Amino acid sequence: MLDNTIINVRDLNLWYGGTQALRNITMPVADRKVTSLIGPSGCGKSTLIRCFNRMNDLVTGCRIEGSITFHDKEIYGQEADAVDIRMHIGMVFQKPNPFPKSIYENIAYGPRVHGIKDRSELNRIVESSLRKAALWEEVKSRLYESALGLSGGQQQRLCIARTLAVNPEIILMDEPCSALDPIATAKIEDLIEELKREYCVVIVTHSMSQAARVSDYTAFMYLGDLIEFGDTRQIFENPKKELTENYITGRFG
Amino acid sequence: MTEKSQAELEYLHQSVVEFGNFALGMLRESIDAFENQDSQRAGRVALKKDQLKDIFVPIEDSLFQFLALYHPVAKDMREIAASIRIIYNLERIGRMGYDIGETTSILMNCCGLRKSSELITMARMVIGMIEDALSAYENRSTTNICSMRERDSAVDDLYVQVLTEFIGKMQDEKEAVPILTRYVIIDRYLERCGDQACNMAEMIVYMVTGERVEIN
Repeated sequence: MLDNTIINVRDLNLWYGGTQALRNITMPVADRKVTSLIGPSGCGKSTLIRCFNRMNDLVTGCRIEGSITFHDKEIYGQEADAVDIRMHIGMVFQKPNPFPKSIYENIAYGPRVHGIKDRSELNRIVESSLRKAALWEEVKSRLYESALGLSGGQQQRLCIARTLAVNPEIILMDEPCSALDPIATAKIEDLIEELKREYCVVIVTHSMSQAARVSDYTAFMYLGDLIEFGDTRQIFENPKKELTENYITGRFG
Repeated sequence: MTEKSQAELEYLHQSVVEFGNFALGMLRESIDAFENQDSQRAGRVALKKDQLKDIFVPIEDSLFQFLALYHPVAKDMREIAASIRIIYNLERIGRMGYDIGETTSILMNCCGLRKSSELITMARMVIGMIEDALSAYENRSTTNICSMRERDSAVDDLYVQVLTEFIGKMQDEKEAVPILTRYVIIDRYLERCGDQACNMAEMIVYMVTGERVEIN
């Protein structure tokens, strides 16, 4: 446990049918910090991040044992509501996936679903979310144009703004920069730095240097096991496990 | 890390070792010249000053380039960071070898060398420390440098002993103060070389274990 643990994972095991994808994962996720999940393809990092907002509920044959708590309440408890959890724990995916609607409607969609109908309130949320996602200045004059006309980097920031619009506490990012050019990537990284002032951010990334740059804590996973979790500087300067060292220095993976 | 970058890292490591041997060679040769009153040998050290720089600059460039191109982390990062620091220590050792050689030449040309067994003893101790530091770097092992602090302490004691001896001589031979001062300067160079060996040892411990220690 960290002082400011917001999500606590204990002895988490997950199976896709007969295949075990996560093994005895125990780790904390700190509030208002960035936690990176790194590891080679198939190591379980996306599976783990998808557990945090119950995205794996949608996968047929997925079975979970163990405990994941959010503010000390079981995410997979009987009383837990997946829709409510996803409102508090938003997610941004590898490929930007804006709705085929206007920029404004992309942001207003979530708050509307959650019952906000007042136009001025929606306007306020749209502007505030776009500002937080560092996109407002670029799109304020074309809010009613299609979001599909934005560049890839802008679309990804729009998706982040869309997540922010429902006022989450945690933002999960699954390889958010892998489809972006270096300039758009730098903007997202700057944005992550800003976001952690108010939110907890968990990011899955294949870029070692990105994990080193943006995160406070890093978890290295391999073949479904959590090999090492620690302060990012320690992981990248002096990892405790040889497997971690071999992976981050590119000697395998 | 690609095979190419691993090979490049290994090549850089060996280049630092070779540079170290060159710099240490300058110090060793200057001490041999001093001990044997060999002006030719002292002159040879002087000729190596430019070569020292010519070897140093490309290695420094390559180490910086490695950082820029490969963004090393963990032990690779520690090796590059340590190597960058260590080549500066080695360059200083080479330069002090040059300075001792030049001072030896000046003393031999003006008035003949005085024997100082303590100065030679100190020089041999310092050379041994640098040899061990270089070997520790080459083998990525801390075994040879465990007692570096104690060895530096012994060098410091000798430094004070030689200094006291020459200050005493200065009081007795006031007209020889300009000459005797040069022995004090050699004494100081050697003490500084011992410190450089300690600095190298600190970086080797960091390179191998990731721990920051203070030896010097």
